Amino acid sequence: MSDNETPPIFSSWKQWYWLVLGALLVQVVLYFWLTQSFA
Amino acid sequence: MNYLDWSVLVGTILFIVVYGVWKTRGNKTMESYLKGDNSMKWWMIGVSIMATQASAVTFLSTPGQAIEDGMRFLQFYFGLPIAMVIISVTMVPIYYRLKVFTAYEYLETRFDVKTRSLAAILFLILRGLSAGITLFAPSLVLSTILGWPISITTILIGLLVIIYVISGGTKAVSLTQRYQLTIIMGGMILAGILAFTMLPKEISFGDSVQLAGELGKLNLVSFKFDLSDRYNIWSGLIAGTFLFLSYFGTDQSQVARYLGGTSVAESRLGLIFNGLLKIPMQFIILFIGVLVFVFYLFNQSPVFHNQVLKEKAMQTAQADTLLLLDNRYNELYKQKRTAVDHLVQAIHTNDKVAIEKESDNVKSFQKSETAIRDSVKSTIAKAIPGAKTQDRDYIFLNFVLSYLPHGIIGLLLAVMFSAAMSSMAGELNALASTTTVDIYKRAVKQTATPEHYVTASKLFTAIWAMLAMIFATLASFAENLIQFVNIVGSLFYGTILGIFLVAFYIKRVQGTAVFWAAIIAEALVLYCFKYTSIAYLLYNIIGCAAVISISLIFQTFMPSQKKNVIE
Repeated sequence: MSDNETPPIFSSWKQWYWLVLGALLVQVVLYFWLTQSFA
Repeated sequence: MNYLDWSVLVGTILFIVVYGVWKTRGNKTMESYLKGDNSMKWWMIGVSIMATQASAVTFLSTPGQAIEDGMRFLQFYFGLPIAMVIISVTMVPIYYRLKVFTAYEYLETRFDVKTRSLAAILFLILRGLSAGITLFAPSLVLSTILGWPISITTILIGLLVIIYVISGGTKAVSLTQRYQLTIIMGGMILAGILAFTMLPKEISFGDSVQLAGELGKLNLVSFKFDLSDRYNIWSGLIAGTFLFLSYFGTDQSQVARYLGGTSVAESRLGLIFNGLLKIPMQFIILFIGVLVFVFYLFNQSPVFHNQVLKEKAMQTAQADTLLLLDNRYNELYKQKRTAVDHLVQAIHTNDKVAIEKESDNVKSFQKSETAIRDSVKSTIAKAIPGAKTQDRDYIFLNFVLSYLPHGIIGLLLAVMFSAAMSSMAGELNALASTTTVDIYKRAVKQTATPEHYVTASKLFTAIWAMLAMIFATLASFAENLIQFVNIVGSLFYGTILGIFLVAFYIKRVQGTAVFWAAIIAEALVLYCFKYTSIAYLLYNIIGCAAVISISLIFQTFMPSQKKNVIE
C-alpha cells in the first residue's frame, strides 16, 4: 500500500483538498446569504 | 403504534442484525475481524464514519434544537472539513505505513510502550463511559414513548448490537452501517416532506422558509466574535477543528473506520466524503426541525413534549396547577394562531412594515408560551422530584407519533434504533480492538494464535457491552450524567490530542518527555477541574497546550534516546 497513490478524477490530492475547503467556503457563503435574506 | 408500525420496526432491525451476521460469518483472523481484511471502499468508509458519529441523540435532539434555538448549531461542524484534510495529509499515510490495528500502536513506534498504554487507557475510560450514554439516551426516550421499562430498551438495543458485532467485527459494523444510514436519512427526509405537506394549502415552501426566517430560526451563520456564545463561525472553525481533529484522528472508534480501507487512497476519499457531506447532512436534519417548527405554527404543540411524564404529574397534587397552565396555554395559542395568519397575509402581500410588525407580534406570543412551558416544567419537577423536565429530545418523536401515518411511525422508530445501534457498534468494536491489541496482546499474552486473539476480541466486545448496559441501566440522573460524561471527555481528550500532535509534528521530542508531560498535563487539568471555575470545554485546549509545552521543556534537559523516528 503506497501513500503516493494517485487519486481518482483529479491529478493530485491537493486538488481534492482544495475541493473540500472550497465546498466549505461556498457553503458558508450560501448559509450567510440565507441568514441575511430571511432573518 | 399498530401492527404495521411493529412490522416495519421489527423487520428493519432483524434485517440489519441477520444481514450483519450472515455477510461476515467465518471471520477468523485479526486482519479480517479487526480491520475487515482491508476490503472497504471509499464510500463504505465515508458512510461508516458518518454513521458512527451520528448517534440516536443526533436525530432525537437536533430537530428539537432547531425548533427551540434555530439552525445556528450548524456552525459547530464548520471545522470538520478542515480536520478531514489535515488527517488525510498527515495521519492516514502513517497509520497505513505502520500497518497498525489501533491509533495507539503508532505511539509505541514513535515513542515507547508506556506512552502507548497511557493513551490507550485514557481512550478506554472515555469511550467506555460514552458507550453507556450512547445506549442510555435513546433507551430513555424510547422507553418513555413505548411505555417500556428503561432496562428493557437498554438490554434490547445492547443485545442486538452484541449479536452482529461479536459475530462479524469491524466488517459487520461497516456493512450494517450503510443500510442503517440509508434508513436514517430516508426516514428523516420523509418526515420533513410529510411535515411540509401537512401545512395549510396556501402555505408554499417559500412561505415556510420566510416564516422560519422572520421568526429567527434561519440564524445559520454569525460572524460576531463572542466567547460566551457557544455557536458562531469562529468557535466552529477554531474549536471545531481541534475537536474533530482529536475525534477523527485519535479516537479508535473513528480511526478503525478508515483503517479498514483497501488503500490510503480509499481511506482519504472516505474522509473527503465525510468532509463534503457532513455539513449538508446536518443542514437537512436541522431544516427538518424548522419544518416541524412551521407545522406547529398552524397546529397546537403540546405544552410539554414528554407526555408520559406529564400524565404521571397529573396524578399528583399538582394536577390543578397543570390544568390551569394548560388552559392558559390553549388560550394563548388561539391568539398566536391569529397573529400567524396576519403574518402570512403580510408575507403574501409583501408588505415589509406589516411583516415586521406581525413577526414581533408572533414572537411576543412565543415568549409568553415559553414562560408557560417553564412554569409547567417547574410544576412537574415539584410533582415528581428528580424527574427529567428537559423535553427537547421528545419534540421530534412526539411529532412523529402524533401526526405521521402508520408505517412511517414504525420507520422513524427504526431510524432511532438504527442510529443507536450504528454508533454503539462502532464504539464497542473500537473498545474491543484497543483492549485486545494495546492491553491484552501487548501486556498480557504476547504470543498466541490469531484465532485466540479473535476470541479474546469477541469476549472484550461482550464485556464492554455489558458494562455499557449496566452503566446505562443504573443511570437515573440523565441531565447530570450527560454533562458528567462531557466533562470526563474534556478531562482526557486534550491530553490525548497533545500526545498525538507532539508525535506527528515535533520530531525532536521523545517518549519519556512526552509521557511525563502528559501525566503533568493531566494533573493540571484535574487541578483546574477541582479547584477552578474554568469552563470545562477549555480543558481540551489546556491539556493539549500543556503536553506540547511541557514535553518541549523536558526534552531540552533530557538526553536524546537513539530511536528510529517514523515520519
